[in-house]
Amino acid sequence: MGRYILRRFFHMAITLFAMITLMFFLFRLLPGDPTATVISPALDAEAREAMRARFGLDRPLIEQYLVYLVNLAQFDFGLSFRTSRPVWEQIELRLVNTLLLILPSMIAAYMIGAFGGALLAWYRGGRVEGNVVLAATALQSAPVFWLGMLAILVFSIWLNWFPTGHIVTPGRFPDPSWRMYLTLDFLHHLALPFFVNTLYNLCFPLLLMRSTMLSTIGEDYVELARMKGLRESRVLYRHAMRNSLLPLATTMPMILGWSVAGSVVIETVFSWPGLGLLMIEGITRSDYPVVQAAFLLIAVLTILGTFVADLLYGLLDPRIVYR
Amino acid sequence: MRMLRSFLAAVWDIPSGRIALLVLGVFAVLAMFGPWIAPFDPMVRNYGADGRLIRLSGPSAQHWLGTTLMGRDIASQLLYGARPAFLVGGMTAIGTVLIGLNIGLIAGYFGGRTDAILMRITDIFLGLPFLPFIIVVLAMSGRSIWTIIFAMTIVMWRSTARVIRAQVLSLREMPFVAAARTTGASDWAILFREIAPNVLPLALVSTAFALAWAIITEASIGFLGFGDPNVISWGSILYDAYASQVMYRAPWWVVPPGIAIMVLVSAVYFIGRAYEQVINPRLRTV
Amino acid sequence: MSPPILEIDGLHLGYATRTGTAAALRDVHLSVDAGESVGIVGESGCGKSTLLKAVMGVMPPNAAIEKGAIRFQDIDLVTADPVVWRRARWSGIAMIAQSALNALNPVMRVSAQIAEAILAHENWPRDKVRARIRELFEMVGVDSSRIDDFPHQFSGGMRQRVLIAMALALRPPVLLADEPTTALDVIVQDQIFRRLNQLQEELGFAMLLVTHDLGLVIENCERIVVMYGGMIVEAGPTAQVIAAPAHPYTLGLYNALPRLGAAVEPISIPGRPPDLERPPAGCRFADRCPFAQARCRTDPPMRDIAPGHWARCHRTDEMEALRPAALDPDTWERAADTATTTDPDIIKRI
Repeated sequence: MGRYILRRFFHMAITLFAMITLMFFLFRLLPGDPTATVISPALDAEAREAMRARFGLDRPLIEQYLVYLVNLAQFDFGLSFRTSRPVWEQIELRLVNTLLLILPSMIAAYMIGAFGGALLAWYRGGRVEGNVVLAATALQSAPVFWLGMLAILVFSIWLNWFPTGHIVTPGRFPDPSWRMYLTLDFLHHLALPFFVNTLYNLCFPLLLMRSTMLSTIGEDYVELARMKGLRESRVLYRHAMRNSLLPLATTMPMILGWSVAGSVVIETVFSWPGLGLLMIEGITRSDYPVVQAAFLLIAVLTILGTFVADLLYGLLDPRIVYR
Repeated sequence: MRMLRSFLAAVWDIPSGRIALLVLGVFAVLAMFGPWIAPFDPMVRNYGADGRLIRLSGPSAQHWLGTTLMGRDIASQLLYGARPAFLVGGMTAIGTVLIGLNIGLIAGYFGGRTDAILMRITDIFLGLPFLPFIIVVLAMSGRSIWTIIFAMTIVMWRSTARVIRAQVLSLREMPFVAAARTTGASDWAILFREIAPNVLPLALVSTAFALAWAIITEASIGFLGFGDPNVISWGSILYDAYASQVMYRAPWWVVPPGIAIMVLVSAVYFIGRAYEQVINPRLRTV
Repeated sequence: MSPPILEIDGLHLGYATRTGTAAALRDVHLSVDAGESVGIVGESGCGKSTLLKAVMGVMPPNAAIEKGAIRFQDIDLVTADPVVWRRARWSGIAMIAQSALNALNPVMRVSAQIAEAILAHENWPRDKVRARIRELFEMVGVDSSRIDDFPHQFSGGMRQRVLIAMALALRPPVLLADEPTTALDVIVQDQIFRRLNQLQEELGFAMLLVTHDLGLVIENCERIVVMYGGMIVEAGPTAQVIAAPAHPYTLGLYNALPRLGAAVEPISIPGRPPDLERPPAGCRFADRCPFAQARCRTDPPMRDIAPGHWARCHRTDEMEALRPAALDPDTWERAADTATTTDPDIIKRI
């Protein structure tokens, strides 16, 4: 197990490093000069140079790259073009906001999906199964932002049960701090995006679990478990479902990555001040250090998710670790 | 071509696949002839007989699905939107599968260091946040439909490559490969003449899923406001509705584009799944 | 005489399919006495595995017992409360599963898999359970230090031994074995059967062995049951059935057996098993039988040949005269030819 973790960790480190490097060059080599909007061409040459020097843009690319690496290692994402203050100040709470929305929602989606899919397969052939499969496919095929819009339409506008967006009632916490997470107001705001994101994300594990279970149920060891006189519930959970979790676990990093990356959309619909929304705001304001930092953190979350899922997979399948 | 025909025949044999093919067919016709069917120019602001702008009117005999805040005909916008969905989805799916198929084939067949390097690269792409990456590329190099296709393709091949590689790994050990080798066939000949045809069915399933995913992503990009400004897409209709701040008074503006996306993508999913059942009968229910 | 420990009485079982019902088992009568070995032989698809699953009560959802009884220690499991049947599994009737590779759950330690079988029926403390598992491993000849290994850490032969250990966990009076050694090479197969026979002598369980290999049955079982197309076509003491097979299908199976030093080549029976959804009228073997006559299109009677030996055939009386012809491969070829020309159903299927 130790060697397995070590190997996975090594892979993660390589991916992370490659991502950081890719990021750096992506932002500098794509057509378009991100600094043009900040450093106004109207300024005279000397003033422009001074500005460039202030953001370190006058040095050779390779030197910029090294400085960038060193700074990153110290969680220094540079200065925001807009506020001229460290980017990290803007990032910190945004990161928490994204995690508070995405993580619980993904865990719920996977739990419901796994159990739902298992039960669908176990009691297969009925009317319910067909309808649920159809509904899950339709939901999965709908864009999540549209589901969000419909949810707002129904639950916020028509029924007036939930606020239409934001993380707390605007103006209530003029100075955002950790205290706001401990309020009922926060949960009230969290409910709708959480519900929509969970509903959307549970379709994939549900459908996958169902089809995996359908083939697992036919396995000899499931039949043997029944022959041993075990209770049906034990056959279902310990044997059929336990083994069907493996393919689900392999897809988890991918889905976790998608959902962190996809948080851009859900955060936009619900004006949820997370990393995704920060990134979009950064782009509209041409604040590239912010965009870069938000993007990088989303990537790091994706990669960390993969790593955790890999470890989980190692725990679930003894054949992987002992090989 | 023969492959495509047998693909269609196989999907047609499964009831859900047949319905899905018919739905896809209807959408394809709309994508082709939508602009001619559309009753109005989707960008024209429509004025009533009294000379006033018909803004936010509900569905009526004249405007089937009502009008937008700017008095544009939603039904016409919807009909125009089918084409970019097909164009972006189709091109991306084809590009994705071509890259993914080749990388998967090469990595799986040659193994060893080639495989290790290609798979590390795939891992890096798997760590790339999909939608944010595309948005950054669009923000920096201009919003055009071709950039969208390019950016999506560059990221999406990763999943296909993995699936294909796994299949090639098991095919490589099959007797017919050994037989081809004894006749003195070169590695490339074995790879593309013997192995490739056997992974094509899987590649077709992959294409379907890539298509579905690309259509949803294209809509998301449009919704975030990064779509091609010269193209009306379902995503951009929803963006306009959302940005107008009044969409909550006009469900007819919000509901139809989403339904269109949902139905089209569902059809594609069902086709993919039907074909998956054909190539892997274990997935079939009793 | 004491009653048989397991008795299958007139069992009919059908599978619901898309197009109708497949008659998988028809009028199956079989009894097993305490401590005896009975072998069921037949080609794949003859219903022998279905029969075992029916006895264990783990049929697929589309299968249904239409008629008949399965009596274990004089209790009919078919009509009894499902809980009674569940309790009888493993503690009363255990099974050595067919494929050693897939029968063990890959993600559970084998000790846990055996323990759950024990704990489903007995309320033993943990120590006692583990002691029993160690003892079982010793019994089947596997190092008892390996009880906590995962299935993939064992070789094929070892896994099969583990499955036997699992089957014996609760000392069941009846043991079913479904092709227990098909996946293994001959030497390992031999070792395992020797161990099984030894254990049977020690523990006194009755064994119902299902296989397509007539040779295994001859070597290991006191009685033979021959199945064809979901029915038992012949049953009797092994020596008696081998010396004087009374059903043409048994003759065919016996001919197919390779014999050391014999002058005759093994003859396989041409043709395929019948379509159970639309079984032929009368004798189900008639289409492939070299000795079929017009009357074979009517249901054949169950005829007693000798005490405990019976067969389901119209021509059992003439068998003495027919046996020499059965040794000639041409006899069987001709039967296949006529079958293909006379039965339009078969032509359609080929």
